[in-house]
Order: sequence, then structure tokens, then C-alpha cells
Amino acid sequence: MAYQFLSKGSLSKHLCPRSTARENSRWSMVNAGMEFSAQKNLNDWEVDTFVELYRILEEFKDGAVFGSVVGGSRVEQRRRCAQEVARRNVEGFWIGGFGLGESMEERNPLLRAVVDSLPEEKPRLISGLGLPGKSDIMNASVTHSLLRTHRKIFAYRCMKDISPIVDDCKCYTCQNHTKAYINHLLNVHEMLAHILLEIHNTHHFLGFFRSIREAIQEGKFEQFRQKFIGSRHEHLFSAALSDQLDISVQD
Amino acid sequence: MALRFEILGRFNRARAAQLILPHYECQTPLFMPVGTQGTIKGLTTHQLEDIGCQIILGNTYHLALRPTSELIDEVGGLHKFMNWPRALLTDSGGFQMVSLLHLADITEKGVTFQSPVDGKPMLLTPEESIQIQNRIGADIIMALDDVVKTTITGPRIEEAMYRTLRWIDRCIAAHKKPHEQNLFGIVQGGLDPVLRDICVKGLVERNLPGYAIGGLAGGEDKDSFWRVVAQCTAALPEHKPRYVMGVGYPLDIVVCSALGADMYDCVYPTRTARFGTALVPEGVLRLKHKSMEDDMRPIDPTCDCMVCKTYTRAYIHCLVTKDAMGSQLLSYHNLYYMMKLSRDLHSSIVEGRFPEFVCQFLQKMFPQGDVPEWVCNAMEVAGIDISSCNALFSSLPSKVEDTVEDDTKSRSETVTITF
Repeated sequence: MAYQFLSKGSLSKHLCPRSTARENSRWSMVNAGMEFSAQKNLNDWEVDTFVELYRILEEFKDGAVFGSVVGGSRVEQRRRCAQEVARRNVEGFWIGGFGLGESMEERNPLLRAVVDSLPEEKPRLISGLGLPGKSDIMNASVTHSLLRTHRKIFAYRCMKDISPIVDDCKCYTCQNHTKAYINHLLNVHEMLAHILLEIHNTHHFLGFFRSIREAIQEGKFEQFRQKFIGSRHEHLFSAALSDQLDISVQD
Repeated sequence: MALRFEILGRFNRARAAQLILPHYECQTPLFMPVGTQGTIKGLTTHQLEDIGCQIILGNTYHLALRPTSELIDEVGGLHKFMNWPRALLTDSGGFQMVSLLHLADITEKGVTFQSPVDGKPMLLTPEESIQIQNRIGADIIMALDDVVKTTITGPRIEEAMYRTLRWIDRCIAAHKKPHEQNLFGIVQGGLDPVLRDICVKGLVERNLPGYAIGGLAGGEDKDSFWRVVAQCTAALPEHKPRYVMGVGYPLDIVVCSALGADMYDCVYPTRTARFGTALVPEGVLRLKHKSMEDDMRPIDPTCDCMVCKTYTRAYIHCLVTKDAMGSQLLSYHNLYYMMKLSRDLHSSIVEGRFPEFVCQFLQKMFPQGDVPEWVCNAMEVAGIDISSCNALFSSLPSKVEDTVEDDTKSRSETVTITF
């Protein structure tokens, strides 16, 4: 729904500059786009955008419409956009323009500005992030991008490893296949490698979100967050160490 | 010998049998999908079981390269490595070398080639091929044969045939697991009936568990093709499985089954899926074609597979025109089609309605009655009356729906002109 919303008429020109940008330079182009629109008269921008918004809301009577919140790298722009969209009658919010190469330090204040301006009771969808932060739903492309980090795990030492990717994992891949087999499939560039990895990754992410929901419901989210960040640092450290020790990484 | 072959039904030369292998009890005629590198492109082993695959082929050449037969042996064999609980067959590696490698050459010792990894000269002997296949651990292994294309003529064919016979003895001697793995010999001899006859006799003397008809499906004309199959199936032992290598198209499989063959393998169903082509009773359906863009029907309305029950042509068109993953659904459907064809061949023979099945098959594929001449000739030798579904001997196109129901009606009564 959010994508249909974005593609309608002039709305896309105002609210979705990233559709014209390439991966590496997206972040700076988004900034450039927002700089440009900030130079326009605020009233023109407002009128153009929201007349379009009302027209689209009229058409989508059966589905949910999510409003897009953008604003580039400026906290003020982000806050203003979020506040304006929040005033409109939409069922939820799509937060765009993240996961394009910005650092955590750049991202957090911007996200905070957005999220603090949005109503509590409506869902917020964010695309392209590596880790969930302060949003509710994540786009499935995350699991796909995790595939790239997983490939590092399939180094030479996994060639004869007949254990599953994760020992007590209940996903189809871990219940049926070994690291040795997946290592082989990756080496010979077989489609099945990616299918099996994506099944495992998706299973993990869905489980991860279940844990988050449970932690929030039991009022233990802050503890959960600390524990997660702590164990992630440990994992990254040991992965980096083992990369250094690997004789050859077969890709 | 590590197999049992029990014939359950016949129609003239065609037979339906139970082939009991160490890992699975199969029913023939059967088609074996090719899982070159220990996987069938994009399909999980669960999906292959759902589709009804009984035996899968692994390519020795590819597996010996990566991940190596030693590694496969260490982890307990290819069945364990890829987690496939049913039967496996490995080929000898010889064919891949000759067809894939630039400077492969065949001598009495074996196949010499340049290693694709580092360019060093290497040699695959019959002994080495069998040892590799012993390590991989398939239910059926193939002897290393001297393969020549049937489009070649001259003394090379005779040389290859005699060498194949000499090599079979070396293969038998090198085979360390005759009670767990079945070594099949391969009949060579090009398109020459005399050479083929010598080769068949020579292999039969060695009393092998099963026999393959090799050197076909390489560009020869269809008329020569079926004649070689017919000659070999007539001469090979009745109570042992007969495997026609590299076949193929559904039509070819029906003809060869009518002539008395039991097993087939081919990359065609999965390869054609990657080009966006689906197998249907009428022939093929090209999903990349513009007309599929808004066609909301399933690929084949008569097909029960997961793909036809869940997705439309329009959706698959969208997938296959974008990326390779789109072909995964087509591979699933195409293999389901081939497995269903195998099941239909088996059950129609067992239930005594094989000729009717053949006629229905031909009628769907050739609704104008234009069954190719080579098929008609082959069916005549097989003793199957297909006059009800082919207009070869009539100069007018005929309406054939009525004729299938009642064989006793003469053709002249049922010929009507439709344009």
C-alpha cells in the first residue's frame, strides 16, 4: 500500500527522491533532494502534497494507507514532516530514507524526532535497516542483506562440518542440512544455497521479533536490549577474529 | 548385484516393473532428474519427494571437482551429504569431460584432459571413475565408456565400441562395493546395428545388474534413434533394467517405453524451465511470451502440482522475465509433469490400457493428427495401434475426439473435415 501511495502523481516527486538514487550515494542524494524542496515555499509544498494525499485517500477505501515520512538528514525537516503527516487520517506511517549508508550516530536523533511526533496507537513501518530500532515492522529485504554477512561464515573450516548452522534451530534448513552441504552449494554457486540461507535467516528474524514482543509485553524490554547489544558485540568480535585466522575464504 | 527387478505388467514390448534398490523401491518406467552438483536447481529435497522423484542423477565429474569424492565419503556418502533419502545414480564422468573440456582426449588408458582448476594434464581411468563413484555411494553407478557422438562416422565408432568392452572388465575389477552399488554397462556402437549387436552380447556375457543404451540423444535423426533403441531392447535381457541415457523429451520417453526401455535421464525439464518454458500435455508453453502477461489461468489446468494450484501464468511470467529464481517454480512444475508421465506409463501398462494411454498422449500433443512419421514407424514395431489419433495415412485432417472412445468404428465413419 505504501508503495502504491508513493507512486501516485506528483506526490512521488516531493516525498520519494531516493527512487532516482544509486546505492552508495543515496544518503547524500536524499540530502540534496530535501535541500532542494526546503528552498520551495512551505505553503506550496504543503498544498501540493496534501491535496494529492486527500485524492489518494479517496481512492483507497478498502485498504490501509500509510503516510510517508521523510525529511533527509535534518532533524527539523524530519520533525515537521512527521507532524504534518500525523495530522492526516492515515492508518500508519512509512518511515523512509534510512539504511542508505548513514551511521548510527546520524540515524538515532533523526529517528527519535520522527517517532516522538507520531501517534502512539498507529503502526510505523521502516525499510532497509540492519537492526530494528524504534519501529514496529521491518521490510523483508533485511533478511536478504543478511545473506551477505552469512557468507563470511561459510569459510574453509565449514567444508566438512556436518552440524547444522545453529544447533537447536527448528528451521527447515537446520533440521535437514549441514554447514558442509551449504558450503558446497555456495562454492558451486547453486540457487539452493540462497534459498536455504534465507529460510534460516527469516526464521531467525521472526523468532527475534517474537522475543521483542514478549519482552515488551512483560515490561522487560530495556533488559532485553542491553543483553542483545552486549551479545552482538561479542559475536562481531569473534567473527572478526576468526576471519583473520582463516586460511582461505571460499566465496 | 544390489537390486531386484520384478515385472508387474506388459504390453507387447513395454513393461512396468518394480526396481528395488538399496535406498528406495522404484516403479518403472521412470524418469530421473539431473542434480548435477548434488542439488536440483533451486528445489529442496522435500520438494523433490513431494513431486515424486524416485532416483536422482549426480554428475561424477562435477562432484569430484567440488566438493571432491573424498569429502563426500568422509561425511558418509552423497545421500547423507545432500540429505536425499531415496535412490541416487552417478554417471562415470566420461561424457562430461568429452563434452565440457576443451582438450579432452581418449586413449586406451582412459580420458586425458586438462584440469579446469589449474590446467595440469590429468587422466580419468576406468578404475579411477569407479573408485570415485564408490566413494560417492550411489545405488547405481555407470561404467566408464568410450562415448562418440552418433553424428560421427568411420572407424572411430568401432574402436570406441571395442574399447568400451575392454573397459567394462576394468570397471568390474575396480568395483569394491558390488553388494551395495549396481554397476551398469553401457551399450555403444553408434548407429551401426552390427556394432551394437556385438556390444550388447559382450556386455550381457558379463552378467551385470543392468544395462544402459548410450551414445544417443546427441543430434542423430529420430528415425535412427528409435531403431537403435528397438534393436538394443530386443537383445538385452528381459529381467534386467534398461536405461536410455540422455532421453529426454516426453514424446521420446513414450516411444522408448513402448519399445521396452525402463529408465531415462535428461537435463531438459529443468534446463528448459530456466528459459521460461513449461511442459504441458500439448507440448510446451513459453511463459516469457507477451501473451502470458495477463493470462490468469494456471500453467496447466489439468495439472495437480503445487505450482498449478497456487500460481497463474501471469505471475510466473512476471517472475521468469526478471530473474533466475523465477525458474524455480517452473522447474517444480516441469519435474512434476515428468514424474506424472512416469507414473502414468507405469500404471497404464499394469492396468492393461497402455495403447489407450499412448493414443491420448499423442492426440493431445498432435491434435491435428500430424504425428511424426518416426513415431508411427516406432509404434508399428512396438505393436501399438495409433491409427485412431494420427492422420498420416489420410490426406485430410480428421476430427479425432470420437475415435478414441470406440476402437471398433472404422476410420472412414469417423473422418470429418475440420479446418
